[in-house]
Amino acid sequence: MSQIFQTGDKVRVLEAHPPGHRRTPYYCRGKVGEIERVCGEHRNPEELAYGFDGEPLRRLYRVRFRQADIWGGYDGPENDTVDIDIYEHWLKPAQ
Amino acid sequence: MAEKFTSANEPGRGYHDIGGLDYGPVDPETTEIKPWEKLSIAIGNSMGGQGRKIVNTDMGRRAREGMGEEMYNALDYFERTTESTKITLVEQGLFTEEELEARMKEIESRLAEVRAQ
Repeated sequence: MSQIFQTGDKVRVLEAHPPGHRRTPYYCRGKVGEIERVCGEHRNPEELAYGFDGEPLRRLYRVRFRQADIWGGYDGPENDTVDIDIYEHWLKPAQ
Repeated sequence: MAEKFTSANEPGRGYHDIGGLDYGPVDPETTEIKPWEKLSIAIGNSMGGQGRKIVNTDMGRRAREGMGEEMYNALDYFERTTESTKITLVEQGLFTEEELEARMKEIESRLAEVRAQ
C-alpha cells in the first residue's frame, strides 16, 4: 500500500459521522493538523469490530493538532498541542 | 458544569464519544478492584488471545457503543466490559440469553443453599 502522507504534511480529518464503530474522535473531525509520525500498517479496527479479518491493512498516523484549533475559545498557551492516532482513510491533504 | 450530554441532542456523535465535553472535575478516588472484575477481564482476554479470536478489543468497544445510551450510562466500567463480552458471545451463538439466565438462577440457588448451611 503506497503511503499517502509524510511527516510534516498538513492534513484535514474528514468531517464525517458514519454510523458504526469508528476510531476517530468526534472532537477532531474536520480539524487540520500535521503528520507527526507514521505508525505503520494495522488491521482495520472498524472491520475487526464486526468479526471481519481487518484486511486490507490500514496505515496509521500520529497527527498533531494545536489545542487552539481543536477547542473553540481555548485560552491556554499558543503552543499547546494534542496528538491523535488516526487512520489514513480518515485523512485528506490540507493547505 | 454543562448540561449532561445525550446523543439525542447531537446526531452523529456516539454517547461514548464525549472527549472535550464539560463534565466537571474528575474524581481521583480509586477503589480496589473486586475479584469478579479481575475474573471478568481475564476471561475476556483469554478468549481474545493466542489465536482464539472469539472476541477482540474492537468487538467489545463496538458492543458497548451499541448497547444503548441508557444501559451504557447505568453500568460502571467492569459491568460494561462484562456486558459487552456477553453480547459478542451471544451474537456468535456460544450460548443464548435464556441459557445464561438459567445458569445464573442455578448458581444463585446453590449459593443460597451454601449460605443457609
